[in-house]
Amino acid sequence: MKVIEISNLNKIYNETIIPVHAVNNLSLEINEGEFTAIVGPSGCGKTTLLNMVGGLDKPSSGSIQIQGEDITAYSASRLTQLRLWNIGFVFQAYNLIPVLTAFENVEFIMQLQNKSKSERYERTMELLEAVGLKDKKDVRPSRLSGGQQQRVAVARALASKPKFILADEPTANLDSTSTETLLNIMEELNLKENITFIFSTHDKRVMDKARRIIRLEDGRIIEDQGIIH
Amino acid sequence: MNFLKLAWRNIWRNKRRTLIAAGSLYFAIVFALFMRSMQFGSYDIMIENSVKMYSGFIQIQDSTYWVDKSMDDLMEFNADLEAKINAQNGVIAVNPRLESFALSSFGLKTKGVFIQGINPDKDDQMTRMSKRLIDGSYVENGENGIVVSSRLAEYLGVKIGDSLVFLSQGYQGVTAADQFPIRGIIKLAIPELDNRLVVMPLDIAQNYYSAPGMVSSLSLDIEGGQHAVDGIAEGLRSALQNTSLEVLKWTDLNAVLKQQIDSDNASGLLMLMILYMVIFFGILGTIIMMTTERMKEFGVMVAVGMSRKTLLFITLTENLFIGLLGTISGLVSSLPFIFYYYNHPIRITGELAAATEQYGMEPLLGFSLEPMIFINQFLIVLMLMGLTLVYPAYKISTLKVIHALRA
Repeated sequence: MKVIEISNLNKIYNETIIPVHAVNNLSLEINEGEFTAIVGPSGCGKTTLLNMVGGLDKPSSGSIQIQGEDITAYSASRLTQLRLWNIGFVFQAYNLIPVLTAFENVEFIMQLQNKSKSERYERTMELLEAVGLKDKKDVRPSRLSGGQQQRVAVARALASKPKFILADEPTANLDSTSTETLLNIMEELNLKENITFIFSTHDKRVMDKARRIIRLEDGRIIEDQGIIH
Repeated sequence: MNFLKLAWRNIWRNKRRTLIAAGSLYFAIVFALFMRSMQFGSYDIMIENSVKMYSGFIQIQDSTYWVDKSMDDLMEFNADLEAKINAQNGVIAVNPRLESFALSSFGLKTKGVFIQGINPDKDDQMTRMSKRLIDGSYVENGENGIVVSSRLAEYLGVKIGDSLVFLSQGYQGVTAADQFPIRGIIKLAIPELDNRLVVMPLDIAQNYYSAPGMVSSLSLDIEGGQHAVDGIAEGLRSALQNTSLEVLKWTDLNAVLKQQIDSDNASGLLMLMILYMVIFFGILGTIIMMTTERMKEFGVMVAVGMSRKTLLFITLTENLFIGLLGTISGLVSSLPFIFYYYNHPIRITGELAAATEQYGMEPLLGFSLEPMIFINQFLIVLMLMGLTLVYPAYKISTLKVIHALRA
């Protein structure tokens, strides 16, 4: 089942001065349950592509369909709702809310969805257990290691039961052990719960885990290795 | 975790900054409350002294009397008129008065005096003038004795039992001359009155001025004091519209006092405005810092699905918390002191007291517990906090998530 369908997508910066094609006539399909890495050198358009798929940025032209609906014409508030209910984000710099504990950071998204207290509690505990941080539930991000923070970020991204997770360089700030742990957790969630993961990365370790690798250069797909495992 | 809790924790991210912001509001509130309470308390004392003790909050006179205060413009006072006035809601008592000037003489000394003919029993219910007695006894209906103010007595060198001679012009040009024994001496708070007031029973005054049954004014004792004046005066004007009588409010009768109060109030407001302006920019600086350093976080929140409205609500709540911290602590710590000084006004002494008296005011700093003083300061702070919200509101509404995430 197609989760994302991108057709003839373009993103041009500085259109009127010196146009820069960050994404150039790109077409792509992502199916449910994929564990996909988008790779390529810096400036190849990985993050721009992820931002547009996540409704954080508008394309210059082309369409992005999420579960059959073109989101390119969505208003800002509709995009916010789309992200809340359909997309989970994992950022390079974790971006947890510093005044909230690990538990509250995960629970927070469900509160935006107006889920009941008991449902929030159950799901949060389940996710913290899945990422191995149940014992750190009352700890604030400043007292967690980078790897632990990123695991909380993954739990947060999964809290809303999204259709897919967009992870922008999720391992860039992590050491090898933390990267290994994080990747194992995400892989397990992908395999067990059929959650679709899309990474942008430079990291060889991520590429090794990915079952599909899409290579970008100058905003174009130059290689799509399909499902490789 | 709810959004109120999030806002509360947010303001404590930088404890020092929040305490400084709330502290500046605290000191502004304390200063403003003390200043306004003292101002209004002093006005109340001034009004009490000048109005309640002398003119009354409302007077009824012949419409021609107020301009020249001539004995030829007196009015008749009878039971029908008294009943008509008493029928108005809020009127407690009608106090007939005959007031005029005379030249007083004792031995070789003379002085212009202000004679007030009153119904001692009724008038005293309103003015409590008898409580100011420092020697002798107060005037009584049917008794020929008079009461003189302390500074007048001192100037003329009179004491209880002495007689004062008065010379004046009576009703319709009749010469008024007589002598009256002194029964008592009163000390008045207002120096201007204490220099020249003579009080005598109304019938004695009417007889002295050859104006039986006539009065110069009716001073009304009313319920609710200065705040009830407008409504009662309006009712009386309707009731007396087909007569030659005029209804005057205390602000008409004491125009100078009213101007003094208005001008002092305006200068107080100006000072508060400057104070709050300084506070406003201080708080605005804090809010700008709080907003700028959290742009990335705002971006993350919107990215993960928080609506801008919710984000604005959280920011508004943070502002409100800081405002409430400063305001409530200011109110709570000021109230006991204001309450104490309300019950124990500060008596001014020395040169300042003399200067105050020169302006015709009692050298007393009173405090007021008028609820509007507290409500107004609270609302002003809320308004200021609301104004400072314009900056984060603008930043949130124009937030570009991509740019914010890169911040």
